[in-house]
Amino acid sequence: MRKSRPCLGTRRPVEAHEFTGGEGESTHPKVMISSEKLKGVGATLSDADHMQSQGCSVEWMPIHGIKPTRVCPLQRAKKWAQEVVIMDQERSWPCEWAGGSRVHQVAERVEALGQFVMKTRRTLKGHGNKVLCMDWCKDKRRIVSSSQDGKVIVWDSFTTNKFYCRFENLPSKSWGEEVTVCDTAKEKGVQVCMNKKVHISCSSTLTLMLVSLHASGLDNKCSVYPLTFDKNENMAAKKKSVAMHTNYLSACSFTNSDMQILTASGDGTCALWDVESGQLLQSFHGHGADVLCLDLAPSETGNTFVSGGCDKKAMVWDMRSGQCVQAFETHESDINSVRYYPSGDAFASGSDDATCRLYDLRADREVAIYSKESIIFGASSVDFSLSGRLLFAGYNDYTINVWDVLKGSRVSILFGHENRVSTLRVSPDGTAFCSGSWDHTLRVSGCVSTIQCVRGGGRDQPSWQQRGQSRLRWAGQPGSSRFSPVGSHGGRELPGEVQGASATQVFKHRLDNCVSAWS
Amino acid sequence: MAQDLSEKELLKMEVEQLKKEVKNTRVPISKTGKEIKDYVEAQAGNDPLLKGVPEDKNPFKEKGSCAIS
Repeated sequence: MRKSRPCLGTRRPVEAHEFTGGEGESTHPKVMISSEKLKGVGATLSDADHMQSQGCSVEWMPIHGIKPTRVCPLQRAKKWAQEVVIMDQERSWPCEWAGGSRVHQVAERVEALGQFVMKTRRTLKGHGNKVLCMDWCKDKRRIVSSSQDGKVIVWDSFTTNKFYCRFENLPSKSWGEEVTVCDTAKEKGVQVCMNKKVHISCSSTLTLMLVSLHASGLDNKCSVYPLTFDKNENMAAKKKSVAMHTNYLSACSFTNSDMQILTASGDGTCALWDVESGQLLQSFHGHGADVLCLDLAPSETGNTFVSGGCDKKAMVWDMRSGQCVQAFETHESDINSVRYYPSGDAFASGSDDATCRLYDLRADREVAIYSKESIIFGASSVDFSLSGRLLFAGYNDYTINVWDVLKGSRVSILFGHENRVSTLRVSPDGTAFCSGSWDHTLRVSGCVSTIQCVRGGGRDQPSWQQRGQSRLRWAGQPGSSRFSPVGSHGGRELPGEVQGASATQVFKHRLDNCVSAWS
Repeated sequence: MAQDLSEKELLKMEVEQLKKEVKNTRVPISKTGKEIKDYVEAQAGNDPLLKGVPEDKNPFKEKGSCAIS
């Protein structure tokens, strides 16, 4: 039984409704009249007839206890429909219900991962204000990010250089030439709009999509900017306005074909637009409050997407018909981020209620919750690793937690950001992930590759094996040096001496006679 | 637009949606959970963040003072 948490950052005031389930039979059923005109309770039969003749809906309901309370039939109908769904599952698969409904129960036999070490490999500094959004380019190397001062910067994540230049399938060895074309010291990014928040999505042809989030009339627009230009050209002049909503835009994405754009808005709807003509192709109504995030299904032929909103619901939509296919309402607060599972059969969501949850689309239910008592700040963005075993989530308490999707446990926590993490994406080839934060920086992080070790030998002669890694030698540092390891073993890790100038550096783990070496 | 709708209309929308969803077919988790697990196990070998990348192939390695022999 989870303790209730304070709802941080709810954007819409929630009105309390008195609701009774109406369980149990009373010997004196009374009539509840529920219409806009007369919210009466404890009325008599003649009143009921009277109301019915007036055209109001009247419902017979048993009342539990002496003091009657107001009931809204719509709330009751909603609860009924939800219960039907649950009963359907119970009736069809009784053993399923008894066996549990969480993925970690199915994955009991799967080997646990142990503690992971994640390390920040690159820190990208250059933004003058909070980093709000970022995306990886499909070349798996460039990162595009936007910040609150309205600037967009294109980074080379390998070298941390900032630049923008012509992207025309140049071979990698000409990288050096590209960098000299633009002066990276002077080019601090492109000013696309003054003091407005911008949301980024990269298409495969490297056109940028920038969405202005400032809700001030004309600015609720989504524009597409081509990235192929030279520094003399005015990027803002080449922009093409595509989408328009009646309230702020919160998220956008190119579709698989790159010819269409999907947007999510504070007006509670999502919309599909054609890039060339700017025409609205389909709109998606169903959320009861602002839509905050969306993600497209990964398959090439897929035409569904999932959206999450301030109404605590995650909804899966069919892009062609505009209908909501499935809706999930188990979160306790706004859903900030949704991301499809790599196989496309599930999706994860991160919310202000400090949990991330996994929803299975074919089972039509929530199958895992990733939470800890110690985590009380909301998750702002989530993403999966390539295989779907790891879930990376950035939180408002400045950390990034890495969850084991199958087991439901946290395998790593990454510190380093000095303000809340606002955006997080895993690179397209899965080698690293990048997180953007309100501390004006982006950090590209990956896991520290370790050499596996085995127990063996005596205390003085440990035997060990390495996993596909060449031996290391520390240049210029013969003799012993202090080495503080962090690795996954059975016992506690202790600092120890690394001795010798031999080709192989080993550290001996005192508790279980294991040895490991770190790269 | 969602803010313009009254509570009653929002609930009506939700009930309509739920009525549609009642008809969905559902697969037991013992099956779908297993498929997720199988997917992960099949893909785990290709996942650089899970298995680690050898330093000589890692494009993000730091340019430290160590050399690989």
